Amino acid sequence: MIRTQVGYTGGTKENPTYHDLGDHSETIQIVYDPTRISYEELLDVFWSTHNPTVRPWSRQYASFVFYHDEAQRELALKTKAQQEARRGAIFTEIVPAGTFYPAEGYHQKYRLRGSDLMQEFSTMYPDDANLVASTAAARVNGYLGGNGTCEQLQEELDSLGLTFTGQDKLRQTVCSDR
Amino acid sequence: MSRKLLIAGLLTTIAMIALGAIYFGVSRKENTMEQTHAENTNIPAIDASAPARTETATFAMG
Repeated sequence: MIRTQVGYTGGTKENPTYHDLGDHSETIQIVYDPTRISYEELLDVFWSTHNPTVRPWSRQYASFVFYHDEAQRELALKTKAQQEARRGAIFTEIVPAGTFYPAEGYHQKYRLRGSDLMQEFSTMYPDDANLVASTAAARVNGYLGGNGTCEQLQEELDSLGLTFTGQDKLRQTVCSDR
Repeated sequence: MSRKLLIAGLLTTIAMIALGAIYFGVSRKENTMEQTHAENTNIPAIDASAPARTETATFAMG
């Protein structure tokens, strides 16, 4: 994962906001290194981390795959068919990716913003746009959100730009309960 | 004589102002460079190494 960003897409309203979303859906956009993780692996995570068998009660919280090219479309359709065979009706729509509108800053890196480590990242990245684009911030946000293992963290801890105190805090959080 | 002295005094004053401006200009530039260097050294190593090729995926998960 190089970069993650939450935002709004799939609708027609220009410049939507959280309180004026129009016909968009809440989405996550991931920029990734295809030599480290494949789109199919991302789809595995997508299908296993939400319940696409429930009919969405609003477009804001619907299930979508927004494909960026033909290869993504084919993989999305193939894996959706596999899910249907296993789980029954799947309400996920597979549609071409359109304009992506980043959500407001306070929605980005949500777990990180609520933690003690945010102060260190604010020092590293006084400009919020750089924080949102940071791989380190995305990784730390992910660990704080309960993802990743202690072993994975140990491997990359030195590259995350944290002070020794920050490293200890993150290590304690991740390694004490995983 | 007094006119010559006045001109010499004026020239000296102008020269000192010019030297002062140059000194403080250089000094400020050096400070800015030091700050930029300090900020750069804080950038996490993982952010400094971008892969040659990236792809984008977009999902909505209810």
